[in-house]
Amino acid sequence: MRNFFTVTKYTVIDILNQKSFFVLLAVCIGFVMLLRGCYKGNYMVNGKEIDSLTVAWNASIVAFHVIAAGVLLIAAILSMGMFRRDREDGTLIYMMSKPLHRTAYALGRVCGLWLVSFGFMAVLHGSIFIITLMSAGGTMPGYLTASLVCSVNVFFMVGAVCLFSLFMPDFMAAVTGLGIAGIGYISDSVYQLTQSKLVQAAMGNSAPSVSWWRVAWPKVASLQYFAASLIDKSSFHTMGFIHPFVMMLVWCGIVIAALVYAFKTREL
Amino acid sequence: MISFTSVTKQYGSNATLAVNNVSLTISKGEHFALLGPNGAGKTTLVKMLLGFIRPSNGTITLDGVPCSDPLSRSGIGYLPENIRIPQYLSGLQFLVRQAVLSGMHAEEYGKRINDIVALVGMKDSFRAKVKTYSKGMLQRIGLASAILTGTKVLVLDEPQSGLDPIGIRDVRSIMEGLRQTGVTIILNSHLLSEVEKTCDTAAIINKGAIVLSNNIRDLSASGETLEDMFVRIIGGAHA
Repeated sequence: MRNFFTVTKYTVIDILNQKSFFVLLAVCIGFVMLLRGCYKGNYMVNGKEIDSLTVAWNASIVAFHVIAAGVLLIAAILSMGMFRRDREDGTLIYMMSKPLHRTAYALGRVCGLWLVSFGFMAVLHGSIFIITLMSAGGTMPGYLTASLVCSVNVFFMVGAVCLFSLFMPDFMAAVTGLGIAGIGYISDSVYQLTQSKLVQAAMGNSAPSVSWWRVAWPKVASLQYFAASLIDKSSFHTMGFIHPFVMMLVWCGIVIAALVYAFKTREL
Repeated sequence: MISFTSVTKQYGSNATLAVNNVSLTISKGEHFALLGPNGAGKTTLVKMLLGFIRPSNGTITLDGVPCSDPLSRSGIGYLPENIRIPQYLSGLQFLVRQAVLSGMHAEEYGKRINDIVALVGMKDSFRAKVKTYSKGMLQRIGLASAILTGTKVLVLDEPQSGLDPIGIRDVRSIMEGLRQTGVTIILNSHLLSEVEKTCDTAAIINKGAIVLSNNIRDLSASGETLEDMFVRIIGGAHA
């Protein structure tokens, strides 16, 4: 257990030693800051002026989704080369020649990547939270909790890309991980849309049945919609009988178990 | 004690044997040299000892603990051939990481690091970033890390590689110094004259099999140098 924490700590330090990480973070914070302009305009809907708090609220929800999805891309980029880098720069040899369980190494690497990726997302979500507070004078109580919920998605992405990178080139591993999330986004978004009152009314409450693979597919987007519902108390519909939070925890468990097994049986 | 019992390693189902039925015993405190031409199976043996790869058949134990158990690597120091260290680390940071992963406490490795960097001639530069090191300095810091964590066994793969004549002499005197501490040394080297000076026993491996294993003094008693013997055995096998 002690070695697991040590590897996690070294992973965080190793990533924070990369200047490109901070450049990426600075660019993302810059984009988030550009959002401030949206908070200060005068918006009219159906001839009725929208108050600044409502504008800020809606802009923050949109930003929440964009950041939660965008950080999956960052997590995939950070994770895709982790094991290759370790092989190339000698880290794997110097670590594994010590009394270190392969499980502790693999889990420590994944948890370190997750901590950094989650930190990245928390900084961006935190920036939105502060901008909303300063620009509109209103707080969004569930915003940071929702960010924490989305960290499960980040963990899944890190684990999946690390697992795939053991069997395929780095770029393909990232594309495969993002592809799984992308299919989930399409499937879950279509489902949420078909469950909305407007569509239900248009379809005469005869929504098509959902195929089994859509129910079993990693619920990356559903979890994100659930997280957003914690902020705006909007309606959220669970596909199938398993809540997406539980479903994603199960998927994280499957991915990590497969990663540990694959790494333990590998020749270094 | 390190024991290889009928160890075989085959890569792929139809590939040739990288290691073929090797049985060896290395006693505590022994300085043991593993000799052989390139591709003979020396590094494969070392990798199996360190648990990087698994034998296809046979067992390897360190003090009775199978090498598949990470605990068997407690007290082992390893200097790989062509050492690579993450460029953003300093020599000191690298040594601290090695010590922490070996389970040492700060008070234990603090003084030891200072002593060892002085021993390997890196006292003035061990705080500098690894990216500023020459090949020889990398080799020295690698040797320092192996000595730091290798309180029971040192596995040195071409430790003199990249070193100048003074460096080679330093490595020899370090190995001699370690003899008093009772540390077991497994040395992979092509510098047969150095092996003759520093090791007690040697095994010559060719095409994955041990072709000769003997005490170096017994070998030299025949009047033949290790190099002559190596060329005679390996040259004959290659002919």
